[in-house]
Amino acid sequence: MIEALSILLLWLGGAFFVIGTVGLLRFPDVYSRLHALTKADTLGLGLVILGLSLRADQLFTVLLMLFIWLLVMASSATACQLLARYQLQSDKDSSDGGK
Amino acid sequence: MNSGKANLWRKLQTGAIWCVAYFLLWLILAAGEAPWFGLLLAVFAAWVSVRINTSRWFIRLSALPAFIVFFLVELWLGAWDVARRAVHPKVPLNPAWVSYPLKTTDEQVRLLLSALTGLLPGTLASHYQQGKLHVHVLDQGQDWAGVISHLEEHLTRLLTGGQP
Repeated sequence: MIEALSILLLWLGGAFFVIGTVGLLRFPDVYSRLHALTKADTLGLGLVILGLSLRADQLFTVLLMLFIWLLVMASSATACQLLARYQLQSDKDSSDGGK
Repeated sequence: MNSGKANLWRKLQTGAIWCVAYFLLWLILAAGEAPWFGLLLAVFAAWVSVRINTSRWFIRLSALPAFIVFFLVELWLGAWDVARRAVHPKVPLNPAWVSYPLKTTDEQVRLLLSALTGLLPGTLASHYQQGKLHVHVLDQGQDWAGVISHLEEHLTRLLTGGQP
């Protein structure tokens, strides 16, 4: 039962990674693409970690994985924001230069 | 002269605390391998932390469970929403830049709100300026302001213990 749930979560997590990439390819502009990658990948990793936690034999391993998820979430939230800010600035610069 | 010395002393103390914290983080994540390299990184990371002047955070633990539940639900909804749009044959998007008037004046709440907005359904913040959060939304028709406002309330309760 736990085995089946774990496999389901791992597949679901993987599916979110794939769909995040589909969004990256299909969405029309940089900002929309950032939405797709940040949200889908963060949830995808969370589901993969949940799936792996069900198989872990030590509590320490589970805590370690949760910790890694938090760190990845923090860095992707920050990176996403910085990329959006950078792109916004360069859009502004190029429209100023065009005038 | 004296206050300069006291200031330096305080910075060294803060740096030492960060250094220990980062080194512990390294030891846990690297399972005790390459401690010298980890120490080097910890010193560097502590220096950066002191440079950008991150203050230590206050967290109201009683507000934490509600925040975690809210955040996980919104994270799920956000990823689901973006996945639905990505695989839909017509890619239904109605993106726009909007600005959200911040209710909180607390700098840490603003900073964290700006970062975490990117994980909520359909919203992504680039920066805040003059009390306004600049947000990119995937669909103008969605209730983006309501979601950000909820997150703002949760973060304010969590980090300051009050209402925004």
